[in-house]
Amino acid sequence: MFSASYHRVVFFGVQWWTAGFYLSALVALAIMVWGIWLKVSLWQSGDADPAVIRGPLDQGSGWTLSWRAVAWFFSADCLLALRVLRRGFYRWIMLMLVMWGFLILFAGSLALMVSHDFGTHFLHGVVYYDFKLILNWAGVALLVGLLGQAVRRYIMAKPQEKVYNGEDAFMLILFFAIGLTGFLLQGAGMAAEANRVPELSWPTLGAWVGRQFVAMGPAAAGSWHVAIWFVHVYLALFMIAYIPFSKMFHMYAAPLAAGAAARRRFIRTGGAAAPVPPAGAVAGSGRALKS
Amino acid sequence: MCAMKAEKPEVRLWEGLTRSDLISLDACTRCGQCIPYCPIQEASGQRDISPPEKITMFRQLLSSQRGARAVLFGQRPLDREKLQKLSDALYHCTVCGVCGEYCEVGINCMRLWPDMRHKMVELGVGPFGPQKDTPKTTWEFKNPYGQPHSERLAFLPPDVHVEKAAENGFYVGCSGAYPSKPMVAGAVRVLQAAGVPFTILDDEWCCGFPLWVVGVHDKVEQFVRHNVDEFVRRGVKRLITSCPCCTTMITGNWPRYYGKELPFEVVHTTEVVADALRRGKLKIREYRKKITYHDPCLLARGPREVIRPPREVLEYVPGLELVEMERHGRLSKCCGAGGGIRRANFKMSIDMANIVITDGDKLGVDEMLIDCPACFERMHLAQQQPDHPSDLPILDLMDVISRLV
Ligand code: SF4
Ligand code: SF4
Repeated sequence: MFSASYHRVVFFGVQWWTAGFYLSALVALAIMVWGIWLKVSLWQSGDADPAVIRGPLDQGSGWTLSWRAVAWFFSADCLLALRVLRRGFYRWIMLMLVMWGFLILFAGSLALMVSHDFGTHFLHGVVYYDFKLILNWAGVALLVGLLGQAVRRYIMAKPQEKVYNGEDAFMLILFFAIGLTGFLLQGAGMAAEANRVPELSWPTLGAWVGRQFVAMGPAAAGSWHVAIWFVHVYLALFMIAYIPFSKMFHMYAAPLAAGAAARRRFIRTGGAAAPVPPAGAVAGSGRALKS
Repeated sequence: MCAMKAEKPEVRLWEGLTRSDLISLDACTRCGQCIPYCPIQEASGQRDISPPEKITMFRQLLSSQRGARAVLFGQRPLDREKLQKLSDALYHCTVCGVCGEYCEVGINCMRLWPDMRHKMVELGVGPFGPQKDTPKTTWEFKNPYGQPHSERLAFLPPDVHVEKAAENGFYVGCSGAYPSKPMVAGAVRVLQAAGVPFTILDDEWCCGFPLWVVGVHDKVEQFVRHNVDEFVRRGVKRLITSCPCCTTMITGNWPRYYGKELPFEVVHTTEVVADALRRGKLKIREYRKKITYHDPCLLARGPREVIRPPREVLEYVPGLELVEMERHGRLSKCCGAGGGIRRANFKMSIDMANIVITDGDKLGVDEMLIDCPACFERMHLAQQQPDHPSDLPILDLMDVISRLV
């Protein structure tokens, strides 16, 4: 099937632009860090949050309770978005597909960099095969999740929930384009690079795309590969740089707001009740009485 | 190198907002999950004044002062059209906080909206309509109703004894002192029957809520300091509140304006009464009625989240049957009285009151009990309108209890 040293050539067909890529990536990262710094310094210029006064019937330390709540939020409510699950399975599963798909692809790109640039070369042989499989499914999850979100927003949403603007649509299209060009890039690469022929029979979406490219021959596939590489890479770098300036920044801010809400509510209730009411909820019982 | 700033706008939109407020602006995912529960949306259906739209507009305006372009090329003047739209949206809101309760990322809307309104005031696009008179009237009369300060204690029943100094202070509040007297008259009677000695200020001022909620914050500190200092002078260690707006203002905002934690604890009347009933210090006579209880926004969703205590009080009433409204507790509907909307948009606020009354009426109960002077005033006013949908009797909880002790 393939040897233990099997791997793919990073920067195949675009080695001449390696320095250009790293320079561009550095610029994108710098813009992202600057954007985050702008946001965080804006947040820090806000007033301290006022303490909620505690009555005589409240017992225990608000801080102890609150940090327990924050820990819960970061594990369950942020990584698993249980707050969304309480509202509905469809929105939750689409969010999970997009979020985890994106996170795995991002981690995969970093792993590729570590393997290639730091000379560790651990992405060889069967490890490379598994890596490819995981990344492919993460990519499929991302595309399915994005399509599902688009269907919910523009087809399924009740009229009173339709508050989406141009930026909402733009972000969906941007993410989708990155995912899609990722598969096209993979497919064109397999068809163009003789070394990667075994990959064409792997059970991945990338392999299926690759088989469609084979007919045009390695030279044409190679040209396509280079063109798609630029589109994919620069869309991804644009997205990295753009996140702090877009509504997507909620990926950082929402967990913080949710954590703060958990703290507030734990203090207010003396440690009770889920902070987000489930779908269709009509009542909340509030603080337990101390006798 | 950053470009020179083109102009220095006088009002900096981020100033005066808390860190949580600022994070919230970036946290909103525009999921729209809060919209179906907003009473303004239920009454008007205007999406352009919905919570995510308010947050997006504020974020866009803020970015013209602190966004990347502003940092690189200088601040741009605020888009006046957008500012006016934002102001309209912010003042068409009862600050009921339901959106925050349903918000998936937990945005503290009950604080965010008044803080944003404060910026509108600084920019000269708030308050809205007749709310503009509130600050002047409140400062002049020490109450937002323009009623004589000398008549503030006219509600006090002659049979109730008030101490000169006591560990318990009772905060009357403007709505109880003027348009909704039965509520506080009932509360002080019940406290006396429960054997809780208390003092009341002869010179009690407004708690500052009407100013804070419309965004006029400059005089709030004076109201807060006056009241706190007077209660301290009378040896108060525990302040008992009645009105939900006062309760929220005192627990959530007085420390902010006082500059430190308050020198006394704060409890709501129903918490004290429930406690007295549990200890057997108070007995209630039979009341054979089927009732529903409407949770006031600022009591159920405010910093003290007073939801169980009124229900516990009701459980001690022999013969009384409580039927819950579909939306109750921290998710109760808003009666349309809050946030200054009753001054700004009479029809909208009456529509909202009618929605709550109709919800109660559908339960087939004899009466609806409430525990808020603003709800009391608004629902009665709604029932005085020619085309009101229901004559369900609306009574105050403490007024009813005071007649049974
Ligand atoms: S506070 Fe109440 S009225 Fe205002 S936006 Fe939120 S839900 Fe609507
Ligand atoms: S529920 Fe919260 S995050 Fe969603 S649109 Fe409303 S305010 Fe924004």
